[in-house]
Amino acid sequence: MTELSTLSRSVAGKTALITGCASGMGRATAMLFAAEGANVAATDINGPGVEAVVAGIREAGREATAWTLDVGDGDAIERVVGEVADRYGCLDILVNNAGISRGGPIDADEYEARWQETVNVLLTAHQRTIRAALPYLRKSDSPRIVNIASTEGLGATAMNSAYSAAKTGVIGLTRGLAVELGKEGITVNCICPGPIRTAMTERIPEEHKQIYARRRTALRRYGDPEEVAHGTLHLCLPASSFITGVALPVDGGLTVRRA
Amino acid sequence: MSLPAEATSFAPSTSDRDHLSVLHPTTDLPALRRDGPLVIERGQGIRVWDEDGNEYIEGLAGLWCTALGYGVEELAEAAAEQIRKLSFAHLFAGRSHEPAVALAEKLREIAPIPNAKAFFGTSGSDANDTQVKLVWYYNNALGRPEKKKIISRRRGYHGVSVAAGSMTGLPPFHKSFDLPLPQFRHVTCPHYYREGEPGETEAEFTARLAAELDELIRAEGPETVAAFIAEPVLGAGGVVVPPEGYYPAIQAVLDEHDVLLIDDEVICGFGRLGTPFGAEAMEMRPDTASVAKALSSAYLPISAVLVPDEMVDVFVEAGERWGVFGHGFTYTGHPVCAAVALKALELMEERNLFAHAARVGHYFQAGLRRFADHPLVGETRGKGLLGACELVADRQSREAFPIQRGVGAYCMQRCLDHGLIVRALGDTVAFCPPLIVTESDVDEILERFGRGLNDTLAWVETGGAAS
Ligand SMILES: NC(=O)c1ccc[n+]([C@@H]2O[C@H](COP(=O)([O-])OP(=O)(O)OC[C@H]3O[C@@H](n4cnc5c(N)ncnc54)[C@H](O)[C@@H]3O)[C@@H](O)[C@H]2O)c1
Ligand SMILES: Cc1ncc(COP(=O)(O)O)c(C=O)c1O
Repeated sequence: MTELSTLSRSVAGKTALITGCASGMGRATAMLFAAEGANVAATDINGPGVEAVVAGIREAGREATAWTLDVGDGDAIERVVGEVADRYGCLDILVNNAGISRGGPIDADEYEARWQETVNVLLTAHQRTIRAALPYLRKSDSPRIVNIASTEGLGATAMNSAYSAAKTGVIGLTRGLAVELGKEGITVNCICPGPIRTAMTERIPEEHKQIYARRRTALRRYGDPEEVAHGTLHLCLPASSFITGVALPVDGGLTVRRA
Repeated sequence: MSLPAEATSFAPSTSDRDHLSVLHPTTDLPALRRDGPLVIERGQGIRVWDEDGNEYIEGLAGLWCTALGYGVEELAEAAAEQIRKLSFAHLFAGRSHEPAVALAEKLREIAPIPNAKAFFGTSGSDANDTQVKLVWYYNNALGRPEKKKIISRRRGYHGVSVAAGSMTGLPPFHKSFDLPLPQFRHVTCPHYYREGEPGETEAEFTARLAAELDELIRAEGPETVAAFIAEPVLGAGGVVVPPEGYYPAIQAVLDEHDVLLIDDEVICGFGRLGTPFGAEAMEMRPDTASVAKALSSAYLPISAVLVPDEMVDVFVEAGERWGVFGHGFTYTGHPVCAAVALKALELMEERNLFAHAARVGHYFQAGLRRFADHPLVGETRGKGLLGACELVADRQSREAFPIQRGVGAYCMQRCLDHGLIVRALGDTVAFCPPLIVTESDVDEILERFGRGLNDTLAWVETGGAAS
């Protein structure tokens, strides 16, 4: 048996830019990465929200900085990515997590507006942050990009087509860039969370969550944001150097279970 | 509750949520637990759509009730208008209102009994409970307090409330509910195919049933028997059309013993059998009648008990002695229900719906009879736009399938898969489409049924679920 080279299983000292950190999975990811010793550039459209998260991280003696960033704003992305690189001198990890959910039927009057907003925040923003971050990622010795898609990009629920389209697009973007950037050693993966307890699913009553989970998931429960954060962390480890182009469901077995 | 538009992912569907909070009426509860419900979401004309967008022809008019079909704008408008004007008013203690009076007038004009006054309720069951109470009150007022027993027929269906359920003649509605009450008796169902004896003609069968009724009344003592209740054509008991001459023969017995005939028109009323009321199609001469269901085309719940002036006069006289006539519901004559029912009756008249139903009914019955030679079919039967196909294991001997084999239920499910809602009453498949069906709709219904029936035959032949 040949000796293990013991690839690093730590993000300590890496700089990670994460979008949508004020709540849910973004917050859990920021906290987990900081706890693991990364420098976290925590961003969110909700300034006070992300500052509170960063304050918590700092209180725990870990490193993070907050930026108010609307990922729907391309110029702001350019600016913030530059500031992050200035602040930490590098950028190794990009997690595109910020998201919104705007459902509704295809023939609704507001559909066009919902579509624009959804595609802008959930999909267009991803290529923009990636393009802005690329010059810095290219200098990293283990550059990682993780996009948060959804099981709605693998299957679909009625009345949610703009969201599904955007999330399917995220999977396509992930695959395309995995192939394109692979020769440079940059890995590009995405995570497809299933039902997770965050602000996005907060309005589904607890009893309904339980019914849904029992009927549709293998693990018979909703997931917690931290469980998704661990999936993201795993894909960002230097040791995950041969994983690229995957769409990893973190869904409690939603996609494998047939009712 | 309905979820906000943003939260459509990862929320359970209506069918997923159903079992948590709903106790279903008249349902095989273990099967429901196992299979979940079919969730209907919208309707238009004779068609409805489920939560997954599958289309069905409503071949049972909901529960034998949506005569005008779904999505009738005028009825929505009538309800909205009345809600805006006066959403509630009652008829207790000397109050009245226009919608109730107008509807009662309309019913008096078309009722199957002369000079009828209407007592309103909200369901067929409460109408039939009211029938029993009125008959009891009537006989008390006439000074014959022993004359209280009510006779109905096995396989008759009159509802599920305590008195109506006692008159219903189907085991699931009695078993374990401590029904029927002691004043209720049941006689043979007038179903020649099932109840006729070998070699007996229809006329002999009818005479036997009349004699059975006569014997029962004599055995009980005519002074203890108040009324006989009958659906002109039995509906939920399997769509049974009594033989010709049955009602005149029964009526002669009732007349002889001074027993009232209560006509349960809850399914047959308003054009179902090709006549305005079932009594007219079946030669009945009822003393009182119950109507519901098609009265409002099921747009809102409303029923009526129709009783002759003479009976009400007796109540008024009794009131001099007894004071308040103590029977009534908060929603007796509910103005919104009444306004919608009146509009429904007006639309039926405007659209000449009874004549239409009579014509299409003939076409439907002829079409249904074409299944008579199918290897699974024992009998096809019906009248007007009410029909049934009874599935049997052996056409020659009329032997039924073992009930636990669920052949009727299987056929109903296969029809659903082919886009047709029918009802399996045991192994009898019942049809009761909205009265607005056209000949080509009937063709489509029977074509879909034929596919379901052939699937059932294949399943039976390959030994499906035989155990
Ligand atoms: N919760 C789930 O069940 C679930 C399932 C699959 C995928 N997702 C995805 O996970 C990601 C995180 O969502 P969550 O569930 O944690 O929701 P969340 O609402 O708790 O968090 C989303 C965060 O994104 C931020 N945000 C929204 N619009 C933004 C914008 N234009 N710019 C910057 N930040 C913005 C919000 O302020 C919020 O802090 C989203 O991409 C979402 O689509 C969620
Ligand atoms: C003939 C007859 N009477 C009474 C009823 C009871 O009506 P409801 O279910 O409205 O109480 C029905 C219902 O199917 C019926 O068919």
